[in-house]
Amino acid sequence: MSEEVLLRVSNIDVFYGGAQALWDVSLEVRSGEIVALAGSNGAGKSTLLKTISGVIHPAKGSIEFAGMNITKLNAYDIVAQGISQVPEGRRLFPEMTVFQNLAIGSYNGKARAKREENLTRVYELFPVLKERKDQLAKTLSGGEQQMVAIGRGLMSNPRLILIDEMSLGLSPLIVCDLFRVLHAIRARGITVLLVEQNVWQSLHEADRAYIIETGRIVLSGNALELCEEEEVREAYFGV
Amino acid sequence: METLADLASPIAIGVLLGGLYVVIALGLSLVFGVMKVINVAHGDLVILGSYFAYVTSTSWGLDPILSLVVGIPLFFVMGIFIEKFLVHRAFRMSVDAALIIAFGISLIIQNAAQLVWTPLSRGLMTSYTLESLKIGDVYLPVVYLVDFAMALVVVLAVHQFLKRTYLGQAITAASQDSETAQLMGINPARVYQIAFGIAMALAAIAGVSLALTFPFTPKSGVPFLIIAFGVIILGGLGSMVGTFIGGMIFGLSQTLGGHFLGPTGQLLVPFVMVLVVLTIRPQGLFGR
Amino acid sequence: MQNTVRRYMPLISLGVVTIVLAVLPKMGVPRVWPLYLFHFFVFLAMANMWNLLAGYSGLLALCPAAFIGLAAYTMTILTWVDVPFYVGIIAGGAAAALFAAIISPSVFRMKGVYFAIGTLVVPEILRLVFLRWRPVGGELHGGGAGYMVKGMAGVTMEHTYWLGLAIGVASVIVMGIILRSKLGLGLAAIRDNDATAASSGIDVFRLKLYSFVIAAFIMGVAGAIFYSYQGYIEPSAGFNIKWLMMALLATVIGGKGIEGGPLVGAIIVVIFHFQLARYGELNLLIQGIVLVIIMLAAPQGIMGLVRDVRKAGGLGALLRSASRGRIRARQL
Repeated sequence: MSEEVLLRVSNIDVFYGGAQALWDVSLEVRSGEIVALAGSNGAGKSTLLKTISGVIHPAKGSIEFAGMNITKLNAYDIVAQGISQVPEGRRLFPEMTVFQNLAIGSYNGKARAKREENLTRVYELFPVLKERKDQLAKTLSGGEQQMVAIGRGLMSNPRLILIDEMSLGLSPLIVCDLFRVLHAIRARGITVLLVEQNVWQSLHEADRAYIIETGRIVLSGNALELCEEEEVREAYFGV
Repeated sequence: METLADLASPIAIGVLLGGLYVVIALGLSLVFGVMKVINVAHGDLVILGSYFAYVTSTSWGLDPILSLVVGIPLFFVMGIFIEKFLVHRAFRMSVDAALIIAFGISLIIQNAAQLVWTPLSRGLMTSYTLESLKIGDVYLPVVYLVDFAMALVVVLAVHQFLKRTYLGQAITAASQDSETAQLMGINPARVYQIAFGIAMALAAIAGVSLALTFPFTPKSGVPFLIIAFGVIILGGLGSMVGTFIGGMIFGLSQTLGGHFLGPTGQLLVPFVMVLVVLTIRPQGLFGR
Repeated sequence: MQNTVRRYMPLISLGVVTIVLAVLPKMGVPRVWPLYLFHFFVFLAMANMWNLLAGYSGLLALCPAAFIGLAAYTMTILTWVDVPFYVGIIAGGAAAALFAAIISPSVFRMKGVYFAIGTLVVPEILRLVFLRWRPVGGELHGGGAGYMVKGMAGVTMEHTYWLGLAIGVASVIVMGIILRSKLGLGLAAIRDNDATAASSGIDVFRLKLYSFVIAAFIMGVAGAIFYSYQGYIEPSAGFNIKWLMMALLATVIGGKGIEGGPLVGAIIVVIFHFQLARYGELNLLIQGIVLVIIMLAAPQGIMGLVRDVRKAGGLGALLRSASRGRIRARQL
């Protein structure tokens, strides 16, 4: 099962805000994996995620998802194909309730039919959200907001979930809990592509990892093996 | 000596009139909330609705309210086309550009209406136009009651639509964060078209209400547009509840202003209130 | 030497054109020419000042009618207490400028569209005030009936023509000075980014206030001159939204945020005004259609299009790069 390539990004160049942000980037995510995309601030991680989810389009190269070419699809069509993105900074709809935020996640036709089922699962993963379902999103704490953001991503019934800077601004304890949830999500057959500035932690949580620097993939491989690499230890762990 | 009984009539009329203003302002508020575009042609679209009712009732003999069965879908579709081919292209350039396009549309509608229907003042006559209901010592014109009832229905319907349906929630979401809305599978361009279509349908309803209540000419759109602005500034741009309360405040201050200051004080009082509110709370009483 | 000539070339040509226009009514030209040109001067002044506000200062001010009406009323009422009308014209401009200064603390608190809507309400309030208020002339005059401008005996079309010419030329010179001064530099910084400009020590409020007050003064003077020619003012005309439409149309057609834009736009609007006048409503209908088409096809206006064509080195080159740009935009 894990041998099937779910997402294949091939040699993409991306321009963003008038300048080139990615050069000849390729990556693969197989079904059932947790893959981390690590690198420092401004390396192009978020640009890559936005390109996969169709917010921006590459100038060159292609993106395939489950055997289908999605390079030119718009963001709102890609959701229905089974990719959902949890954006950086959560980006909840602040004036909508927790429940409404979750429900809008199931906007695409395929997900609507499974709304109740997915909602139950999200409440199982994050019981606190059920307690707060009628509260406005803007009144939640940072950790709870991140839970809503992930839950909202799951409501679209995805096969692949892209999570951008999940741990940013959250306490280590909450981050630990959230990573545990990611493993639970994977256990339900949803593949995870994770973008993190926190290289050390993401390498320890992921199966495989790509390290990106100034718009280029510089290293890739088994996450734990990467931890042992001299270059990585020097550059990111300060060892 | 003023007694409360003397004030009962202006208060009752003010609230009912406020209902009419709410319906006029609702479409403006919706388009602003979703697209951040000030549709200065909204007043003229309302007047277009008045003419539609005028034409259907004079040439087909339909009751104006019944004519909305045709008017609402017709205006909805028209709104989608106007958004798609005119407003949206300007909207992608800048908010200023969309505003200027709206000015152009306003000029076109006003003057086309003058060509077609002449500058003469028109009004709708129905069996209930001159009827009044006597409650205590207060006479309430039936058309005002009809306006208010329509306002209640429309506000509740729009509110429920926005809250309970996927499309309504998509409009709400896109108005709060259109980029993230795309990540939910929402096509913002389509949401804008539908929001504009709904605003036009609301203009059709407001047009009927207005035509039942006041005489109108092709140029009547501008004063009602400015009143609608006053209403949504009082309530806060883009807030449905705010628009409703803003309409009530506007109607009340108009009739009470007229009661204490004479006929020319009618609109002066609410507009001065608008400026005061803008100065103290630029986002309106209920704006965020 | 050649550089000096080039530098002063615009000034010299402005001088020459002004002199030619000034002697024109004495040259036996057809009688409608001064009339056309008078309207052009007033429209030019209006459009130049609206360009200063909307194009350079980031103030989408929808209240030109407030300045026009207020100044025209000031001038007219002063003629009722035997003040000569030309003094009244300056007083009218001053009244408009003072009014702008007074409302600025409250309207400048509103940002973007709120500012636009807030300023749109202002002329309507003034209209309602002047419908009610009868400062002179007892119960028979004023209010909705309006006022005649008094003391205009012996004032000919030529005189008003020259007044119009003066305000039109003045508006061009004022724009030229502002754009080449510290105020212009500061405004350019504000237009690029409000917040950055403020953090780099530019007093955003004060600069906007300056251009708001200057624009109000010149618009006011232009309005007072226009109504001295009309000879009559009433609230619904003086505070009419059509003043805004005219300023907006001329600026947008010519090119908003471009110094020469209003000049070109005002010429076109005057041609519309007179050539289409006999068609009545059709005139304004066509103006509306032109406005929409220009916004969609050439949102930078005519002068903007000319500038882009020059930059690209010919129309063909521009179209080619535009179609390339469109493809790229779609890819992004």
